Amino acid sequence: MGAGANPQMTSNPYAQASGAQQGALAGTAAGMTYQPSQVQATSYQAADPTQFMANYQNPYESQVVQQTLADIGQAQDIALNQMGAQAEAANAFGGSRHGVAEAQTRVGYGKQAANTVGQLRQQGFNTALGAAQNQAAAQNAASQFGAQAGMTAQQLNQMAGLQGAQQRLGAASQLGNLGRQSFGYGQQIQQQQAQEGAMQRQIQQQLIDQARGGFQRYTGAPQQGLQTLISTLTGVPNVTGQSQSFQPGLFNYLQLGANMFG
Amino acid sequence: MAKGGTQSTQATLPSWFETGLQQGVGMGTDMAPLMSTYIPESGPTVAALSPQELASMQSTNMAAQSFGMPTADTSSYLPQVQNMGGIQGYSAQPMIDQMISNVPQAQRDYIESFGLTDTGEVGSRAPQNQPVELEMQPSGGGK
Repeated sequence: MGAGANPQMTSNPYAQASGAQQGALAGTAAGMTYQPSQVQATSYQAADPTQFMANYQNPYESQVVQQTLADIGQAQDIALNQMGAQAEAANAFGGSRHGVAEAQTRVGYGKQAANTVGQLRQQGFNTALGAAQNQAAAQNAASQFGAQAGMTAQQLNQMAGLQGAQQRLGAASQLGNLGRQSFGYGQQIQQQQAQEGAMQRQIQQQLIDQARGGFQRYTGAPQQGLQTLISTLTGVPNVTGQSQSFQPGLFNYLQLGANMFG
Repeated sequence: MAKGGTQSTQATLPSWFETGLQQGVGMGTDMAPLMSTYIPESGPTVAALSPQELASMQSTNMAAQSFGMPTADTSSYLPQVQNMGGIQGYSAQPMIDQMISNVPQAQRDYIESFGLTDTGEVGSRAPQNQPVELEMQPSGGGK
């Protein structure tokens, strides 16, 4: 990290882009293999009321029955005693009529006892059955609620899982985009650096070319002087002229003598 | 001798022009060794990569490294940067020197005999050292 860089920037943009790309690839690959949780049907065993009946049997029922039987027996004894006293008062104690009446009394109390005990037992059974049915119904309702709640929970978990998978895929996509953005930042900065650097180098090259040109002008200065001289000479028009000369011959000398002496 | 006379015609130059020609020939003769002398251009001939360009190249390496791709060290590829008068660049002179050194010594001696020696004397094959009597003598190459 260069001096003065953003302290939050812990790595160069290309490392960020690379890391983001790897993360995006991994996240996308994980999203591709995502398996949503399965929703399993929940069932329950309906409660049998009879299994609860024992819990609702009156534990004092037998005592009540026995007490009832005892009360009926006592009432029967009282009735028989009164009947015996009446029979004795009528001097009929021990007679056949007394025996028949006593037997009928016993039959009547016996029936009463049977009916009363039967009613008590029936009442106890019905009470226990009702309570057991109520418990079974309550238990069934609870089981049904639990099953429904379980299904709902599974569905919610499945939806949450799907949403989580979609969120992760979205995050992976965003990570990829951010990585691409970081890569773009890096490239832009790099291109700017290259562009500015090339401009600086061109200036440097121009300086070098100028320097080389100056050096070549220095070493070629004498030649330039000669060229200047040659240009000067060749630039002058019509510098050549003509001169004529005559070399006399023998005939010319003879002709000259003849003229002198002629 | 011819019986009649002989008439001839000659082209003539003005004296000032002839003087100029003579001066030009003399100057050319003086310059011939100079022009035959190889004067190396030391120093950089190609501008060096700028710091910004080096930074950009480093960024390329960082990018390649970040993605697990091979990187390259440009410093081992480009020649040593030379600094002359604050100008930084690469010089072709080492290569020129090597190319010249590969020329056979006898040929180098012959080539260099037309020019100036390291001490500023004209070479053995310079016009000044040609065994010809010249009507016009150069100045001798002195300053």
